[in-house]
Amino acid sequence: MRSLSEAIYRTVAGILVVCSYLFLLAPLLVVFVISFGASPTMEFPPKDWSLRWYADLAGNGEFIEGLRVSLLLGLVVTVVSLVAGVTAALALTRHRFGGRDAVIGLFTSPLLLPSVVLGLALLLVLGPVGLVGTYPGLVVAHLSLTIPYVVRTVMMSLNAVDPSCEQAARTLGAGPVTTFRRITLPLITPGLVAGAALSFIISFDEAVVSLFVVGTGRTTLPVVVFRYVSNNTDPQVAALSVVLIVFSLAAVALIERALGLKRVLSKA
Amino acid sequence: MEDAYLALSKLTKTYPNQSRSAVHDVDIDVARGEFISLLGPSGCGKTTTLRMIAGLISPTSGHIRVDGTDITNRPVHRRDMGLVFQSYALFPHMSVGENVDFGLQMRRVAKSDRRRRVADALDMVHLAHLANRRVSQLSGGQAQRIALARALVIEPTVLLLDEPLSNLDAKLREELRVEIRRIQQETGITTVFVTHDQDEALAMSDRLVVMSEGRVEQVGEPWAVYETPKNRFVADFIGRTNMFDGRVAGRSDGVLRLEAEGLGTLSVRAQQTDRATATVMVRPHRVRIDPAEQMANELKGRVVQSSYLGDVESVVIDVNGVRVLAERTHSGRPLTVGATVGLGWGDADAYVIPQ
Repeated sequence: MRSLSEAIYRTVAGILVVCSYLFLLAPLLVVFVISFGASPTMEFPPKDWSLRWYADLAGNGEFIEGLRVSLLLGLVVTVVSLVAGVTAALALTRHRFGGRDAVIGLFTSPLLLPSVVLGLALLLVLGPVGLVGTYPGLVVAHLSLTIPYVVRTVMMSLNAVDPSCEQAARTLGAGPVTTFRRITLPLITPGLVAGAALSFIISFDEAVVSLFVVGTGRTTLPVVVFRYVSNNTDPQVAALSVVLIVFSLAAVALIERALGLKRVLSKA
Repeated sequence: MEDAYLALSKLTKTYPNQSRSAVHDVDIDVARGEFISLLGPSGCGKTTTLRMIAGLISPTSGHIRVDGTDITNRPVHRRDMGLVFQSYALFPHMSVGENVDFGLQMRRVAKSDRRRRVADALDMVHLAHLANRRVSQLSGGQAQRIALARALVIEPTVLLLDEPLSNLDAKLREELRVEIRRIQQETGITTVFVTHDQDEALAMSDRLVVMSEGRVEQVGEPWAVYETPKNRFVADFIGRTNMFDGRVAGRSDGVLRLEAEGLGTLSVRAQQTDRATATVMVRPHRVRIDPAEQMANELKGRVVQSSYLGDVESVVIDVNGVRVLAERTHSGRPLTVGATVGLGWGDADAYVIPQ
C-alpha cells in the first residue's frame, strides 16, 4: 500500500522532471519543427510542411565545405590533443618535478578565460606568423581549448590505476613501452574516450575563437552558420541543426554502446 | 658469505632533501633457497631495500649481485625477479589466467607450454578452478594466491614479497603464511620477505634481518635473534621483554652480579663483560610467579595489572618502583590486583645485551 504523501511526492517530482526537460529541450523542438516548415522565414508553428530546406542544405556549398573543414579539424585536434594530453597526464601523475603543481593547476583549472579574450590573443599571436586563416592556425587555436580537458580526464583515469600494477608488469618482464600498451592504456580507456569526445565536440562546436582566427580563408561550420544567420532568415540553419543533432545522438549512442558493452563484459 | 646467491653490499639509498639515508650501507647475503625476512618498524628501509633488489628504485651506491652477476644497473624487466605486492596489483582488465600468463607472454614462451605452466602455477596455489574468473571477483586471500602464482610462474631467480599478508584478516594471514612457506620449500626458491609483523617473520623465516632507520641491526636465525638480541632496539622490537640497567658488582664462574636500581643484586649467566654497567633482559614468560623451588633471582612485588588471555595471564608487577612483566601459564584464577607475590628467574633465564 502506497501512502498518500508518497503519491503526492511522486507526482510533484514527475511534473518537475518533465518541466526541466521541456525547458531544456523546447528550443530544440522548435528548431526541429521549423526545419520542416515551408515558409521562407523562420515561422513557428509553420502553416505548411516541406523538406525543401533539407534539399537546399545538400546543395549549399558553403555549408558542405564548412562541415568538411570542421570534421577534419575536429579529427586532427582530437588526435593531437590525445597524444599531447596523455603525455602530459603521464608526466604529471607518474613523476615528481619542480613546478608540477603549477602545471597541474594550469591544466586542471577550468577555462576561466573568456573566449573573446582568448580569440583576440590568438589572433595577435597567430597573425604575425602567418597562421591566420590556415588549418594549422585553427588546430593550434582549438588545441589551447581541448588539451586541458584531455589532461583532466586522463589524469583522473591514471590516478585510479594502482601504480603497482605497472610495476608488477615491469617485474614480469614488460619494458616501459609494453607496460604502457598492455597495462596502462587499457586501464585508462574510459578517460581517453571521454577526453576524445570532449575534444571533438569542443572543436566542432567552437565559434568565438574560430571567428577570430579564420580570417577570410577557410571557415568552420559554426562560423558559416553564424555568418549565414546574420544575412539570411530562412530555416536552412534549422535543417542543419537537426542533421547535427541526429549525428551527435548517433555518436553518443555509439560511445555508450562501446563503453557500456565493455563494462558488461568485465562483469561476465 | 662465500656462496651467497643474492648479495647486497654497501647498499645505500639517499633521497635529495633528506638528511638521513633511507637505506644505509646494507650488507645482506642470502643463500640459495633461503627464506629471509626483512623486519622492522615502518620507515626502517626494508621496503626500499626490497624495491632496490627488484630494480624499482635505483640505489645511490652499493651493489646487488645474483649468483655472482652484478645486476645493480639492470632494468626491472630484465631482472627475472618475482614480486608480490601488498595491494596484490593484479591486472584488473585481465582474467586470472591471463594475469598468470602475462609474464610467460613477455618471455615469448610457446603457447602450449604457456597453457601447461599457467595450469601448474594455479594448481600450486589450489585455485585452478578460478582461471577464467575476473580479478574483481576474487577475495583478498585468493587475489594474493594468484599474485603469488603470477610471480612464480616465470621461475624467477628470487621471490620478493612486500608485506603480502598485511591486507588480509588474521585467520587468513596465518593460513597463507603456512602456504607461502610450503610453496617456498617445494620450489626451493630464494625468497626475501618484507614485514613489520614479527610473528610472521619468526614463523616463516630461515633467517631474520632486523632493520631500523635504514641500517641492519641484526641478522640471524629467528630463535637466535629472539633469545640473544644484539642491542636494546632488537630486544625491544622482537617480542615483549624486561630490561634492567645495572652496575657490575662482580663475577664468578660465568655468572655476572649486577646492582640494579630497586631490584637489588641480580645474577645472570654471561660471557665476559669488562664494562662497568650492563643491561639485563628477561622475557616475561621466563619470570615465574611464586616459584616452588629456589631461584637465582628472587624478588617480591605487588600486582598492578593482570590481563587474562585464556592460555596465558599477562601480569605487571611493581617491585620497589620497577615494573616487571611476567606471564603465567596454566594460571586458573587470575591474580588479584594489589596482591603481594614472589617472583623469580634463574641466572640462565636472563641475558646480558651486548650493546
